[in-house]
Amino acid sequence: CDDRFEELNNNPNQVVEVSPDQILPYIQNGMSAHRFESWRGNILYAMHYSCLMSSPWLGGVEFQAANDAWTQGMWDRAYQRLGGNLQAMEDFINDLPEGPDKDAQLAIADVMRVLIYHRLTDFFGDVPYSEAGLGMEGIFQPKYDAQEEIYKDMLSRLESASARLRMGENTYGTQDIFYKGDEEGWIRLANSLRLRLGMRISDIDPQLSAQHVGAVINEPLITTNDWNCLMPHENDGSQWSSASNGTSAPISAFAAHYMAKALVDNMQGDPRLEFYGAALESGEVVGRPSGTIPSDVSLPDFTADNYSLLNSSEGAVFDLGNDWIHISAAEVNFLLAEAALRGIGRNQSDADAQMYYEEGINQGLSYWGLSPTTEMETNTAFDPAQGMNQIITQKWIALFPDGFEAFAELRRTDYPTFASDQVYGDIPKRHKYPVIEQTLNGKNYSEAISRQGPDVETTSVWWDVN
Amino acid sequence: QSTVTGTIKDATDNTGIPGVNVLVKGSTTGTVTDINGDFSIDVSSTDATLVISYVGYESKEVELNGRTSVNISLNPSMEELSEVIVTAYGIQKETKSLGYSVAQLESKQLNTVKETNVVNSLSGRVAGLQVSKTASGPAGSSRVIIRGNNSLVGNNQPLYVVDGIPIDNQNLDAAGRWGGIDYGDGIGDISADNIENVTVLKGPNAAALYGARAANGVIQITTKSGGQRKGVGIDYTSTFTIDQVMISPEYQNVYGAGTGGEAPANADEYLALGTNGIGTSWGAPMNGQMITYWDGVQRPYSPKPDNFTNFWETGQTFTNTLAFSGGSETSAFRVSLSRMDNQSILPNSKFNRTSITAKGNTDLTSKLNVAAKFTYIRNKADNRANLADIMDNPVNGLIWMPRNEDLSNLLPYKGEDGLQRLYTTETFRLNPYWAVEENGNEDNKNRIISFLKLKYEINDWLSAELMSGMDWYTSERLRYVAKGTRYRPGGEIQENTYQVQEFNNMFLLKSNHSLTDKLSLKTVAGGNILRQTTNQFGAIGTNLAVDGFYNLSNASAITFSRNKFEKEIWSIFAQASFDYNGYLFLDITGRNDWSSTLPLDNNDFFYPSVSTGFAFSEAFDLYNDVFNYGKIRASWARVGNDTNPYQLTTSFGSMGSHAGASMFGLGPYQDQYVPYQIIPNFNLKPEQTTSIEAGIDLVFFKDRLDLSVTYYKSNTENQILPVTVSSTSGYQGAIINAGEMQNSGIEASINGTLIKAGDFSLDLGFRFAKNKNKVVALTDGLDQLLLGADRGISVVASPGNPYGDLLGYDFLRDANGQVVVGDDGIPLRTEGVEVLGNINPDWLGGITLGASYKNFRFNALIDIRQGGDIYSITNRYLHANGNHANTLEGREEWYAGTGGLVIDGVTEGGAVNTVAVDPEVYWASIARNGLGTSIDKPFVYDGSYIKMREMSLTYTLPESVIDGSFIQSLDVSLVGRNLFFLKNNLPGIDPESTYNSGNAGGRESASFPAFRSYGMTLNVSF
Repeated sequence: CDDRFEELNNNPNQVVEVSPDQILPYIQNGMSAHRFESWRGNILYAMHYSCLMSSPWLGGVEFQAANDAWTQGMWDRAYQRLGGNLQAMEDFINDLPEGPDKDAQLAIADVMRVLIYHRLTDFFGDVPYSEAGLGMEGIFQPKYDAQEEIYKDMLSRLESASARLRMGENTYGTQDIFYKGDEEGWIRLANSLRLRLGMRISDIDPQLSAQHVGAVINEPLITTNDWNCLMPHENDGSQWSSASNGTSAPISAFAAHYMAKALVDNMQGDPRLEFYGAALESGEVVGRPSGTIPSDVSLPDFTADNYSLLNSSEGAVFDLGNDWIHISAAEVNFLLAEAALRGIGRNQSDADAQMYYEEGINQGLSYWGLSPTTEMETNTAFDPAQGMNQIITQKWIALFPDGFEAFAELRRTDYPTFASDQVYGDIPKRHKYPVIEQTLNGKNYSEAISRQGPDVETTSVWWDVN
Repeated sequence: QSTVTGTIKDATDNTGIPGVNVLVKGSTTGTVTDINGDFSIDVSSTDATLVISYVGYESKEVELNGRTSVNISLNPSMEELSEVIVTAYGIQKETKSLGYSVAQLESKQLNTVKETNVVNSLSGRVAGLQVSKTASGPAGSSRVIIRGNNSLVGNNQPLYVVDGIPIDNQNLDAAGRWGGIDYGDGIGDISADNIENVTVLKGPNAAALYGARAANGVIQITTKSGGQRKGVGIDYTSTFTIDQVMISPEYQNVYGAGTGGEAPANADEYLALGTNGIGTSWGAPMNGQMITYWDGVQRPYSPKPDNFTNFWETGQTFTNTLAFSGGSETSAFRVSLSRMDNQSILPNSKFNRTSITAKGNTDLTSKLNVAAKFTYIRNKADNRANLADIMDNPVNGLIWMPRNEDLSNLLPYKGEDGLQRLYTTETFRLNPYWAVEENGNEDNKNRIISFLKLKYEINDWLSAELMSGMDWYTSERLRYVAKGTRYRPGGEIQENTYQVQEFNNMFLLKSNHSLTDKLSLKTVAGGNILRQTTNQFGAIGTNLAVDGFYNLSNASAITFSRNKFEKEIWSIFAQASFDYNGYLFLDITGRNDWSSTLPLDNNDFFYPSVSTGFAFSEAFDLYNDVFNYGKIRASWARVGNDTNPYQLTTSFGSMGSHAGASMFGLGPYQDQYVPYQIIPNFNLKPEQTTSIEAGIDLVFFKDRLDLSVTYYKSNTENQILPVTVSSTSGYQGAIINAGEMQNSGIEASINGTLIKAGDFSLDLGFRFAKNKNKVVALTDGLDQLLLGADRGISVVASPGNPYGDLLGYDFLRDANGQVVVGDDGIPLRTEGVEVLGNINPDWLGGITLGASYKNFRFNALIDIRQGGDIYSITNRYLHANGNHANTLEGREEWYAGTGGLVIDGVTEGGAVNTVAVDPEVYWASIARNGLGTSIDKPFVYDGSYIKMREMSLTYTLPESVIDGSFIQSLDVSLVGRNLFFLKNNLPGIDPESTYNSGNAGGRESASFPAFRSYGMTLNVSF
C-alpha cells in the first residue's frame, strides 16, 4: 500500500513547488504597509520615535511603553513572511537553468534582501542576517550578525546587483509589482539604496561611505517621482482588506493618532500640512509633543478637540488607497544634497547642495500635486550654514509617514532638533528585541547584546556615532 | 448403579436450598432438592460428576470420587461480576475475567435526567473520566479526558465507538480567544434514549486492540436492540425541561456610568465612556438623580441590578422518542424516532435534532446471521451563541454596560440612521440586542451512521465476522454580520460547508477451545481499514450591497477557501484469552497499524499488550459471610498515535492577488495577518504510550458492598510536536519528535446498599480519581511549549511541571511575602511572568445516592472537582470597568477626599504602605490591557466545585394497576440537572466555562452563563 499512502499524503490544498515570480509579489506586498506589521512597527513605534506622530496608545514615559507583543508582531512577520519567503524564492531561482534570466532574478532577490533587512538592522541593531530564513536547512537558531558586517554585505550585494542588472525587461513581468518587469527601475532602486546606505555609514566609516556614494552618484537613480519604488493600494472601503494601505487602515479606524508638534512647527506654510493632519474647527493644524504621557496635566487633554488627528480623509496622506513608498525621488535628492554639502564621494559644492535640496522639496510636493507657497519658500530658503539641518528636516517631512527611515536619519544626523518639544527625555537609539528571542534563540541573543550593549532603547546602533 | 444422597446449602448461612438442579454430567439423569435442600439421585458409577445449578448461585461441578454421600455449598452469584461487558470490537467478556479497569453505565443512568449531549451524563459517574462542557449552550461540544492528557499538542480525547463503528468526533471550527461558535461535536448527535449501555475502556490497556486511536481510551456505546420480547412493543419517552440562568456576575449597584466619581455631564461625555480606557461605572453614587444619557434623553441615574439576568430568557428542551421493537426466535428489530427541540436561554437561538434509527438482525441460515443499522440524524441550529472575545457575543455587551443602564434603553437597538444605538462610541462594543438580532448564524448537519455485519458460524468453535461501517455527514454553516455593524460597517457573510466521512471495513475470526478440562482459550484475529476524509469549502464575502440579504451574491469581495484532508490506517490485530478454571485469566493482544500520515519508512508500528486477572477468592475458596469475592489484576500495554495528514512536506498556499499579481507564500493559510509556516519533519515517528495498571476488586456482605481500586501509570514519548522556533529561522515552528508526558493516578469506586429493609432501600456510591500529570521532557532548547494564550495569560507545558500551567504576572512580594507597592501606592508586579496556577484538577469525585420506597425512587448525583485553576477574563473586565462589587472598596473615601484604596503592602523601602489610591486608577493598573502594569494573579481562581449535577424522583406505576391493560410499564420522573453549587470559588461564573474543547482549557472569556434545567420525564411501554 506504499504507493497508495504516498498519494494519499500528497497535500491537495497547497502546492509543493511554485515559481519565483509567484512568491515575489507576496513579499513585495508583505513589506509595503501590510496592516499587521505596519501598525505594530511603523505606527506604534517608528513614527512615534521619529517624532512624526503623537498617540495616547504609547501610554508610558520616555517612549518606553514598549509592548512586547507589538514588537514581536512586527519582528515575526518580517522574518517569516519576508525572510522565509525570500529564502524560498531564492532556492527556487537557484534551481533554474543558468543564464541571464537567472542572474537578473538573483540580483533582484539581492535588492529585496537589502530592502527587508536594512530596515530591521536600522531599527534593532545587530540582527540575524546571514543565517536568517534558513529553517529548512535545520537552522532553528540563527546567529545575530554585527550591524557592520550586515552593512558591508548589503552594500556589496547592491554593487554586484546593479552590475548584473541590464536595461530591458525582466522575466517577472507584471508579477513584479514594484517595476512591472522594468529592469531600469531595479537598477535605479539598487543604486538609490546604495546611496541611502552609503550615506548612513558616513560618520562611522567615511572611507567606505565615500567609496559607495561616489560610485553611484552619477549612475541612474530615483531622481524623479516616475521611478519611486512603491506599492499601489486601493481603497475598497474596508479597513481590514489586504488591498488597502495598511498604515492608513488603523489610522482611519481608530481616532488615536495625532499630529506631532515638531512636525507642525516645521511645516509652517507647507501645503502638505493639511494633507498630513486634519485641521481643527479653528482651521489650524495643532500637534502634541511626541513621547508625552496621556495623563500629563501640563498639556491639554489628548482629544480631537485639542489636537489634529492624522488625516485619513479621501485624498489625504492616510487615504486607504494610497501607495506605499519605499524610496522616493525627494529622498534621493536630499541624499545627493547632503553628499554635495559634505563632499562625500564627490567635491563639496554649496550650489549643488542647494540645487538638490530644492529639487527634493519640489519632488516631495509634486508627488502630492502641490507646489510651494510663498511662505514656505521663505521659510525653507537654503542657507549653507544651516544646510544639514535644512536638508534633513525637509527630508524628514517628505519621508512622512515612513517612520523607519525618518527614525534612522534622525539618529544619524540628530536633525531636526526637538529641544523644545521633548517633554520626557531622549529619543530612543534603537528598539528592544522581542522577549521571545531570549527563550527561542537565547545563546545568539546573549552574544548580540554582549557585543552591542544592553538590550535597551538607549544603546546606540553601530552607525550611530553621536 | 448406586444412589447418591446429599444436601445443598447456601455457603453464606449454611441453610439448605430447595429446588436446586442436580444433573449427572454427560447424562439426562437429574433431580431437584427438596425443601431442606436434600436430594437423592441414581448414578451409573460413583466416579460420575454432578452438575449443580440454581438461579442466583454460581454453578458447580462436583466429582464423586467414589462417595455416595456429599455435602455441597453454593456461593450466591455476584451479579455485578458475572456481568458481561462489551470490550474492544464488540468482544463480550465477563467482568471477572478482565485484567484492566472498565466502567459500564446502563441506559437508566443516562436518560432519566437527560443532557442534550450524552457524554455530559458521564461526569461524576466514571472514576477517572473528566468531562468539561464548553460554555456555549445546549448544542455545544464537550471535552472528555480519561486519566489525564497524554499528548502535548495532539488529540487527547477518547475514541467513540457506536455499535462497533468508530464515529467522528471533531469539533470543526471551534471558538478561540478571538471568538467563534461551538458547532458541537460528533458524540453530541447520539440520542440518549436509544442507548442501551456505555462502556468506558479507560486506557491503552483496555483499548489496545483499537491501536493508534486508543491511546486516550475508548468510549463504546451500544444502542438498544429489539428481541427482548416477542411481538411488537412500543416504547415512548418524553422529557420536558426548562432552563434558567444559574449564576450571574457579582456586580456593584452603587456607582453608575462615569469616570472620576462623576456622572457624565452630557451625552458626549457619556458616549466617550469605554473608549481609550475611560471608565465605565466609575461615576457618581446612583441616587435616582436625573442625568442626560448618551442618547440625549433625561433618565434617572439609578441602579439596574438585574440587567444581566433580565437579558436571558427561559430556555426549553422538549425531547420525544418513540420506538417500536420486536423479535422472533431468529430475528430482532428496533425502529426509533427521536426529536429534540431546544429554545436556548439566549434570545433568538434555537436548536433541534431529529434522528431515525432502524436496527435489526436475522439468521439467514442456522449458521449465517446478518445484522444492520441505519441512523439518520439531522441537526438544525439558528443563532448559536458567539463565544469569547468577539463583539457579537452579547455577554461582552452586558459586562461592559454601566450599572445605571437599563436594557430597555438599548431598544430599539437600531437608530434611524441604520446604525446601532449604544452607550459608547467604542468601536469594539456592540449593542447586545444588535448582536443577537442582526448578526446571526444558522447551520444544519445531516448525518448517517450505519453498519452491515455478517456473522458465520464455521463450526462449533470457530466463527467469522465481516463488518462495514460508515459515519458520513455534511454540515452547512452560514454566519453573517449585518451592514452597519460598528466593527464591520460593510457587513459580512461567511459560508462554510464540511463533508466528513469515516469508513471502517473489518473482519474478525473468533475461536473458542478447551485446551484441557481446566484451561480454555479464546482467540480473536482480525483486520481493519480505516479511511477518513474531511472536505471543506468556504467563502467570506464583504461589503454587502443590500441590507439583510445574506447570500454571497450580495457581497462585493469574496474570498474562497477549499481544503481536503484524507487519511487511511490499515491494521491487523489478534487477541488470545486464556481462562484457567474460572479464576485465572490472561489476555495477550497485538496490533500492527500502517498510517498514511507518516513517512513510508516509519509508517508501521506494533502495539502489544498483556493483562491478567486472578480471582483469589475463587482459587482459594475464601467465600464467607463478610467477604465474598476478590480479584487482583495487572496489565501492560503500548499503543502509538499518528498525526494529521500532510505534515511531511513544506507547501505554498495562495495568498490572493494584489495589484494584478497573483501571490503564493509559504504556509497553508491565506491569512493576511498571521502567516503560518512550519518546517516539516521528513522522519516522523509515531507517538508511543506505554501504560501499566494494577488493581483489586472486592465484594463484601453478600454483594451489598463492592470496592474497586486501580493504580495506573502511562508515559507518552516521541510526541509529535509542532514547536515554536525563533521566527528568524523564517518559520513559526517545526515539527519534531520529542517530549514525554507522564500520567499516574489512582481510581477508586465504592458502591454499597446501606439499607435494605422491606420496601425501602438506600444505595450510596462514591467515585474518586486522582491523576498526577508531569511533563517529563520537551526537547533541547525548548523550555516551554505554548498551548494557548489570552489577555495576559499563557497556558504552557514545561518540563518538571504538570501540563497546563497558567503563566502571568503576580504581585511583587518582599522576602516576608508582603505585596510591594510603588510610590504611587499601586502594587508592583513581578519582573517576569510566573506560574499562577494549573488547569488540571487535583482530584475528581462523584457521589451517587439512590433511595427507593415501594414504587418511588430517588436518585441524586453530586459531582466534585478539587483544584484546577481557571483564568476569568470576564471578572478581569468587570474589575477594570468598575462594574464588579470588589471595586467598591475605597471609592467613597476617595471621592470624599478622606482616603481611598490603601493596599495592604509595603513600600520598596520596606515601610508599611499608607498611600491611598483612586480605586479607578488601581483597577485600571491591575486589570486593563496593554498598559504594561497589569497583574493577572487576582483573576486566576481555584476552579474547585461541588455541584448538584442531577436529581430525579421517579414513580413507577405498580404492576397491579397496569396488569391486564395494554400498558407494560409506565414511569414518570421529576428531573433536575446542574441545579446548584454546594461549593464554587469562582465568583459569579461557573468554573466549567471554557470556550472550546481544545487541549488548553483553564480560560473563561465572556462565557455563556451556566443554566440549570428541570422538568419531567415520562417513560411508557406498550
